[in-house]
Amino acid sequence: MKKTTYQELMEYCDGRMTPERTREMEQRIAGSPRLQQEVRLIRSLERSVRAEMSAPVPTRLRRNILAAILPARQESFWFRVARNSSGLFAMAIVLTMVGIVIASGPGTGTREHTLIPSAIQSYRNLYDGAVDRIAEWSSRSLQPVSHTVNSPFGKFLLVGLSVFILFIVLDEVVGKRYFHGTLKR
Amino acid sequence: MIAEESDVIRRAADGDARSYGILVDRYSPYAMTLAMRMLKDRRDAEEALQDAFVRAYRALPGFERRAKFSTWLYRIVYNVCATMLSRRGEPTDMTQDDAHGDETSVEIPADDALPDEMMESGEFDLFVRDEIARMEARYASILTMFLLQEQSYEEIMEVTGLPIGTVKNRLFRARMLLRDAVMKRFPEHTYGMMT
Repeated sequence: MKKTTYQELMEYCDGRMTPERTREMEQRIAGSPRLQQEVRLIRSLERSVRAEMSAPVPTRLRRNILAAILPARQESFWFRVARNSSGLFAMAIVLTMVGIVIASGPGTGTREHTLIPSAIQSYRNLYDGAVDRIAEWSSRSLQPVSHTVNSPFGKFLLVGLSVFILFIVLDEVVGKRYFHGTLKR
Repeated sequence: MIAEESDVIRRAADGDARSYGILVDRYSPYAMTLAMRMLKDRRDAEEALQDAFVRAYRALPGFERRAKFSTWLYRIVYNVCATMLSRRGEPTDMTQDDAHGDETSVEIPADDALPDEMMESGEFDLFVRDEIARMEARYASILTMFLLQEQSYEEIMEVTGLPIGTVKNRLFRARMLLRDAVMKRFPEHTYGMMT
């Protein structure tokens, strides 16, 4: 009787034999406990190999891949502008805070505020206290804030702040909507 | 609703990152397994995978639809891993024909076999996993493509660039390495079982 090789058994297990050879191999296997066990061993090894999938791909890898491909073909105008102007953003935030302090200071006392009066009053007290303290420290008198705001420099500062804020709002609303819309699933 | 793969590929080739994200999700587990089995190191495998997926994205507009996307992608992963192996200075002959005659016609001896209960045990699975992790990249990669990714000889040829004789020889050798390792590991079960 012709001896069976491992290659033949593997071809049989892989379903790569012709119907005639498959039938012949089935007869041989049926008549040999040794071959039956080898077939089971081949199948057990295959089962183990198939079950041994690597650990799941971490989400950060997916994120890195998508982040890496975006500069190549997909970066929007607004994203490029935002990415290159992060320093300007930081400056805008600082200037905005300074602007808020200047604009909401006590000034000449002739402007009508629409915010909660007690909060305004508390803030004014705090502000006046700070001004007094600084004046005391520096032994110099401070000019009213309205002088600064009404000066050409102050107006320029306020216009600049408005442009920065507008830019940030536009980037948030227009730029990120477009950018994230094409990125997230 | 699951989008048709050809539509997803077309949209990704047009630059839609969301569609490419779908392809990354679909193929990265298998690609990761292939990379792990070739490089034997998780960090290197992740680096290779990232590099491969970025390369694939850039090359996607030139992807010819008559080929299977998975085969095309695994070829990129395989090549990136092979490059990393040679960059590490490890001896590698990933693309060389290692056929030494016909190794596939080994006859089955009559004196060793494993009992069924051993093959079903968790210890058996763990041992097989460790053996694959230790196996040379040229064998482990082909075994992975054939058994885990269920690729045909022809697809493996396309991925590796190897002739079919080498693919068959390596696959046979990989299986025999596993089998022999199992028989050696559980010697108490391998003698006197069959007559």
